[in-house]
Amino acid sequence: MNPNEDDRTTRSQVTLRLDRDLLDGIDALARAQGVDRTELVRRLLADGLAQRRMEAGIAEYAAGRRSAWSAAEVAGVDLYEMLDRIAEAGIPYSVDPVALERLRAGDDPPPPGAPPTDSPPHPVADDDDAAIAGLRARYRPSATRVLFVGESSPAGGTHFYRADSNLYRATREAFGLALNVVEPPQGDAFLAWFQELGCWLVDLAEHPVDRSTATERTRAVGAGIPALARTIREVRPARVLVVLRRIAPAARRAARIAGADDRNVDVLPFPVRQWRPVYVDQLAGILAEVLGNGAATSPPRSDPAAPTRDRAIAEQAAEYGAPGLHSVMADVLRRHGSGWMKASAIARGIAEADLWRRPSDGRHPPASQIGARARARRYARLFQTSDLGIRLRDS
Amino acid sequence: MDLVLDAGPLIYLGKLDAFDAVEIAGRTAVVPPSVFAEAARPELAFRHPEIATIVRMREEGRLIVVGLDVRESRLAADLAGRYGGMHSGELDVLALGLARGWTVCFHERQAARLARALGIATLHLVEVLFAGTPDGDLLERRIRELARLTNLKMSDLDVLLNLIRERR
Repeated sequence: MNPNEDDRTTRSQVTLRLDRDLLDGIDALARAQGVDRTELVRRLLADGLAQRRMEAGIAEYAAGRRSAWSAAEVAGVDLYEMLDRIAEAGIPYSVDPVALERLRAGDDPPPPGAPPTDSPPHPVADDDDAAIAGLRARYRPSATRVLFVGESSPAGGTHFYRADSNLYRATREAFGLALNVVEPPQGDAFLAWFQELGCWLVDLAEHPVDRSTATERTRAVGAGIPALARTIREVRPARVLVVLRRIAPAARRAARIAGADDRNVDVLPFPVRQWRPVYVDQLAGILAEVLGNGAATSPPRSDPAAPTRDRAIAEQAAEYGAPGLHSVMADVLRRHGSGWMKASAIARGIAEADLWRRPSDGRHPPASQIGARARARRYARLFQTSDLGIRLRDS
Repeated sequence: MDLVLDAGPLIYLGKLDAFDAVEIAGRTAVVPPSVFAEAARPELAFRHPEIATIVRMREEGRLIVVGLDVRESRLAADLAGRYGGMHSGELDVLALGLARGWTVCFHERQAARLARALGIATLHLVEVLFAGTPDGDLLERRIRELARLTNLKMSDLDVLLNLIRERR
């Protein structure tokens, strides 16, 4: 068999259209490397495919969808290579929490032939529940100033107190903003700081519910109300921060049962997708207000002379419109009484009472330009925001 | 014959040169042929000298390769149809654990959870190291090296180092 016949047997012909610039680049590189265009394209495709397969394998592993060995199969490499690449990619490895708990408790490993200490149907949840309960107890502050209330531990195994969840990352960012720390501590150090500042996170539902049906979620959250009420009564936090709008009614009910002032209950959106910056902004405003004096316990600042976020807002130059639009909002809310108002209703109130006009054309601005919710988040000392709307904190 | 190792723990035992820990912990290291084949690839031995250690352990009878019988092979195939995300070698480990009642040792916690959900006892490599390394200094070195190799989360490393300190 001559080389040409061999080539036709082992390779298939593919025709594809390429941009002229790309083709010019390929030709230039082929000349520089002394190979023909076809050979270079073959090599580029092989390299690109290998790279993509590796990326896909690592992504599957990082997402917890495949084991390292299975990911190696996806990537077309051996397990040794995959383990090295996973470590190089900076993907953190966690020890099985059950093993850690056994070691912590001083339990001996199961004797040969012994059945597992956990058994179906909910062994995973039980393992994790115990581990999370341990972490929550470990990071409980001696005096709680801010009680964060979540729905449940995520079913995927991540958790705020494992420093690997969306909530952890967004909260860490908000603490940095609020307390003017350029690079907040990470992992255990952040959790210790969180604890030192008097912050504590508890969940309403006892087990992970984020993969449950809506009915099961509601039932699990409802079942957690008495326990949350006991916690609020016991720790008497200055502020309760609900980190998921959906559970706000349950958290408010628990606060009422505990005899807490529901003006100290703030509701934030859960920090995913477009809600992440909203969560960070709102939380930072609240933390600057509540923990402003707690900055003494914060890590050293990169610029001790820098103002806190709170002061920076108070001193900033006029935003769109005129300074004092937040005062106008407060006027409208005061006239409304102590109830909640939607942002659109506040805008209507401003126009109807003719409290403020655009300097540029003398007309009343629409609700979108007033940005009442964003303004309320920035002036957390004045306004309380929740799933119900906006109201004055001290009316 | 009671601790079935997945390829990950086997490789790390080789890298840490810590097969003695398995024995001191009162276990016998067992692997299915698929795991041994992956962890002892001759073509990789130059780059990964721990392969020589793994092969030597087998030759000395300190690592036992156990073939799956027909029933166990069917069980592994059945598990493959029901649980995705795992390599066929890992399913062989599960099948041995399930059919023979042996404890299994996986690298990933997800695999360990699945094993427990199937009613199989699990043991993590760090538990083997703790149970089988009485010398505190050596244990700390092994744990630190494992942390470096696996990019272990700092919070987990702190917990383990604290436990070593308490044990001293």
